[in-house]
Amino acid sequence: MSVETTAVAKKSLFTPFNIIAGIILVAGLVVTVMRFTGGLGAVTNLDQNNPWGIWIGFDLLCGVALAAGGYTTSAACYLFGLKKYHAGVRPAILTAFLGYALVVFALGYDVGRPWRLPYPIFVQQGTTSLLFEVGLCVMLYLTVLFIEFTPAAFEWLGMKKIRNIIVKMTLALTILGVVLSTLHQSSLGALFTIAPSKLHPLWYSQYLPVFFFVSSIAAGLSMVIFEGTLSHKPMHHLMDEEYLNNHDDLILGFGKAASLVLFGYFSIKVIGLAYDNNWHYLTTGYGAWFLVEMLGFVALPSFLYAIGARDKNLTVIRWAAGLTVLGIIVNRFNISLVAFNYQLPSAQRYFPSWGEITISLFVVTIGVLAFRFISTRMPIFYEHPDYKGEH
Amino acid sequence: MANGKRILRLTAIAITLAGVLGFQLEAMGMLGSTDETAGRPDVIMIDTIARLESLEQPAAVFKHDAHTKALKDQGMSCESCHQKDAKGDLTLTFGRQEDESGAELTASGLKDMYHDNCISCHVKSEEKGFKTGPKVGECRGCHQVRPETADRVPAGMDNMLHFVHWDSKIIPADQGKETNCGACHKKAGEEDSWRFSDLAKTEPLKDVFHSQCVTCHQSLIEKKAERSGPVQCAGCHGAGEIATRNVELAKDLKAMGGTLPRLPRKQPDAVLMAPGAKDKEAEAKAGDKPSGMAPVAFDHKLHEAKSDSCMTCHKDGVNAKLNASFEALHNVNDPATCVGCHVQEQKKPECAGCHEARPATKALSENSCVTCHNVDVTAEPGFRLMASAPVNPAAMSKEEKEAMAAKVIAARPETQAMVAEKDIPEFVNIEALADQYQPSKMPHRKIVLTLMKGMKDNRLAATFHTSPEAVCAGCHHNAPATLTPPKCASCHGKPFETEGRPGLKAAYHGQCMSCHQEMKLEKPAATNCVACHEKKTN
Amino acid sequence: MLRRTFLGLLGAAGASAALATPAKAANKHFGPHPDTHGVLFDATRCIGCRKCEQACNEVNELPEPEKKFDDLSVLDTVRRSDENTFTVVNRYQTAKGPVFRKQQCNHCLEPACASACFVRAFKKQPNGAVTYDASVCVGCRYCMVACPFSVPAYEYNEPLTPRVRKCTMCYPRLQEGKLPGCVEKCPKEALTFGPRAELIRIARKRIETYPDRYVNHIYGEHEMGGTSWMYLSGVPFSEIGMREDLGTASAPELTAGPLAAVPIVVGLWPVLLGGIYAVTQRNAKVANAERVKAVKDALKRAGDEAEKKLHEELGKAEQASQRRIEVEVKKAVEEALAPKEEDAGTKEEES
Repeated sequence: MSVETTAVAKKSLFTPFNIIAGIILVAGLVVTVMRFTGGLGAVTNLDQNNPWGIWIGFDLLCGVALAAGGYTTSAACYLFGLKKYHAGVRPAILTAFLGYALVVFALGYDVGRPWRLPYPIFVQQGTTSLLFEVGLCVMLYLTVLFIEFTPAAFEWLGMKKIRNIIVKMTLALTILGVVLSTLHQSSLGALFTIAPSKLHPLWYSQYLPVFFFVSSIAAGLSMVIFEGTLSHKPMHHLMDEEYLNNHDDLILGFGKAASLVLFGYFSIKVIGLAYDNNWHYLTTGYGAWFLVEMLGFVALPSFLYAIGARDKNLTVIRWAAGLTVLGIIVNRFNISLVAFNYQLPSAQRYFPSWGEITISLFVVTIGVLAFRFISTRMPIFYEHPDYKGEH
Repeated sequence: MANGKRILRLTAIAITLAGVLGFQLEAMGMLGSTDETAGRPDVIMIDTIARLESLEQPAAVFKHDAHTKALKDQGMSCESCHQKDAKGDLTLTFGRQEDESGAELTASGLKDMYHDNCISCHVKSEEKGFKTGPKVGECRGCHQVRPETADRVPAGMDNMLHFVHWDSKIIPADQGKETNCGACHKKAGEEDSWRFSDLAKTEPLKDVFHSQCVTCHQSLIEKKAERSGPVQCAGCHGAGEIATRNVELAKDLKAMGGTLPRLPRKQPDAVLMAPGAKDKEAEAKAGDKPSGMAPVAFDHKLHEAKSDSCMTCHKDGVNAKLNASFEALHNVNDPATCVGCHVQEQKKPECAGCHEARPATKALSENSCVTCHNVDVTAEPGFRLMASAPVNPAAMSKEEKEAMAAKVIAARPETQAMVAEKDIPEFVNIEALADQYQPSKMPHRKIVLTLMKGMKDNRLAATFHTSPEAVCAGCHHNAPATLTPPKCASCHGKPFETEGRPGLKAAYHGQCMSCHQEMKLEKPAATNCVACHEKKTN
Repeated sequence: MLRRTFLGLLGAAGASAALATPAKAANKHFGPHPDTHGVLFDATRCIGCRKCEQACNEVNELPEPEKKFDDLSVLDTVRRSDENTFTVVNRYQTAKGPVFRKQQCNHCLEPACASACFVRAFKKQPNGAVTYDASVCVGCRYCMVACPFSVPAYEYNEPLTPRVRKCTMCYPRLQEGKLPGCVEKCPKEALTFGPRAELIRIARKRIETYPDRYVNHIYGEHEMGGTSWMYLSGVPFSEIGMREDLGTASAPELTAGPLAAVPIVVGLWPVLLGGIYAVTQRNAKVANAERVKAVKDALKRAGDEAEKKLHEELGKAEQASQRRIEVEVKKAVEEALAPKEEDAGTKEEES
């Protein structure tokens, strides 16, 4: 029998997915060397007018927003007592943990002196800065996520006692997770409140922190559905009964919630428009793009989610989830790259370079590979037989 | 999909709602920006009914010149819209005569009159194949929510334009006279701008002018005279047309030798202006002691040629008493005052080199008072600005006053008194700060002589630069005028110690460069350092 | 149902929305340090000779540029400061002819860069200069995002020790009592150095003395909360490349609202979430208890019913067996009687 299993495990390493991933990894390593020998200028299209590119716009902003599934799922299960989502907590926590870890990893590329990243917390605290707020909360939250993730590792390693200690802390960790997430999700939006003269009026608002926070809830819910859909087929053999039985319920329930959250988000965006009396911008070019973002990537998925929830149509919900995830990316890109520096002539605007795109792909690939590595070995999609029912 | 029909229905409703909302927003003008077309001079807003009741629709936009041209193209005359009154003159109102005989039209009557006449004409023109205006049902074509605004230059007659009229043979001369003033002005001997006529007291000013000027021009055109004035709005009110006309008139003026012939209205050549004199007429006696500022001898003849229009100074008309308050004659910022106009003269490039650097307040100082207030001035200190002999203008007759003023004016210098050339240093070596550059060898005499050339024929300069050394004070400033002024370094030292007083380096550079800039000299360029001082090689 | 998740989180988010206005300390206004100095730039005096750029380059020991400083053809394009050029002079064509403006850090009274820096690498010094400390800078470039004038420049081509670069108002020279390099070098005294309050007085006096020469506005007096580097101009400021739509709120004022919300969230959220948890637990407990009770009742009812049925059945069975017994007895009796009749029959045959 063991001969069989090893035979199964030894199937070819060179699957199409692995080949593509391998190419991206190699390219990423090459660009990494270029970045640390030639500086940012050798690899990016950043300049004196455009200091932030897709490493901030995508890796940081989208990464943090889409990793919001961790706190939403654990809050749903542990704070709101919705036990049926229990099986989805570990995958969500893993996604979130890897997401945040990779955000920090990607920052190592973007920031000028990555080894000084601990400085704001340990050396000299710039407490007037919202970036300090982001950094502190991300660091703390990453720790929280790590701790929330470790029970799976300890179960895999058979370290029962310490695993039990950590599981007892679940409630406190969950509350702390929601608090920290609220703070850093909103602070990422608040970063841009300091530059009203550089952000197009349709996207600038004093309510940016609220917008970012609410959209992160929708992002988290959608990302759990999205990731669950993507991993369903490849990881099916690992998923236990509890997971499979509750999977459809989870998608349905999250779909309902996401519909409401997106509706709420749409409403506050409309209120934001009215508050600043920005209606006349809607007839401009930027206005048209704003309407595309609002109607196509917020209103439409909200509507689709509602239909899917009512008809119990999981396929529609899945598509809506994909649309929402895309919409979050569009929104974060809009704020950090499209609407930012809108006042500059187009010759001075920024567009990502191949090096930047490579590193972003590189980071995402590492995340996917790490997820695959961990979930195929540790009890993420299934309960460890020694700890069945002990949640 | 199971509920495809319902979704389709909902989507259709949503699209309809969006369409209606968008249409409403657009109609309310909430979307989109205003039209960026520049205003035309002929835009008239028809809101006659506003006098009678509040308007339901916005005022109608009417482009007069466009209609005049359209009528001309179609071979129609002004009488299509403007009726002729009893005298045969065009009335200015549309389709009706505003006199007591016509019944007062009601609001709806006026509305119908406008609508019927305008629209029927549009319909007829379209039938004839011409490009035409809005017709029935195209309300917004005239009643525009965001209408074009009129962009009219205020029309007026200046001396040159007036000359064109009083010199013209087309306008017939008065009975028994050589002048033709009576053709326009009603009271002989008291001719003045129509702004101040009795008619202007009751009618709107535009009606006064239009009824007098435009009707006359129109009748001349109808009589096929050699030349006539404009009848289109743009002809008098359009910036482009005015500019073209001014170019033509300037050519004519040049052909006449540069000066207009003097208007034959029996103006005085010289005027004795005495401050507060007219107030004391009642108590005036020949032997009274002097009090107050000395009178001013005003050269009226010279100033007539220097101004564009009598109204520049006679703001309330030539028949009205001139406002002789201090403010009205001495306000530095108002070009209609004596001091204000002289300050404007100082802005010419020949003058601005020195005068731009002088603060605005310095235009009115004790030293400049006596240049004008000097008729029979006493030499005693403390009484310098006051009249000496018991001359009381209030007790003098008009002829006496004019004679006295003429005498003083005749005594004024024609040209600037000059410093002898030998007293002007030829070169000045400025070496106080020589560091990265060699000392500057300044061609002092050449500069002074160039400045003198610029003010050679200027009576204003000649009158106000009372001593030869006064010109030196242009650069050698903030010290008494003398032929041996102190070095710049006497006052200018380290920078930023007193505001208003630059350090020595900036004093040198600022003084020379600002003068070159104001006098519009291209050489030496301010950034061409070596033009004034060579670089040190080591 | 995640409805509760949504409602709970959004309701609490509403609390932070209410804090969108900056939390001002009850009507107190903190002015700049009394010793704040600044520079007044007079655009009507500048001739575009670029001696200030040269002085800056020398004083800060910056690398030599491609085109020398007396090459005025660089003025044909509008430039900005970069990592090796702390200040540039640009030429603008206006109705009054060419006008020149010097661009450099404006040393704001409440600098956006200092507010934005999360390691406090920027400091507004008491004498007005905004200085940069490269020894703590992480290189995040948020200062470049925050600056409304887009002043800070970055050494993108430095792989391991990149710095943010900008005008320092020659802070070291100021410490020695000297003037900033550009101020000292300008031949026209287009730059005036002095206490900021004094500079404002000077600027007002210049406008009053020469009202035709200047636009009646000191740029930087109030823009972005006020700057130490101020400008006078003879043409509208927008014609010399300066934004007139920046407003008078300083950058710290703009972020004060979101920052103020942070401690509230830290204090309230645990209470809120703990409360939600408690209520959810209570609900679950009550639901559980109800369910247990319901089960118990159901069981009891079922038990009672079963007993009743049993009783009935037993009764019936008892009756049934009784009847059967009777039937059997009857049958037995009949059987017993039947042979007697047969016997009687046979007996008759015999006799």
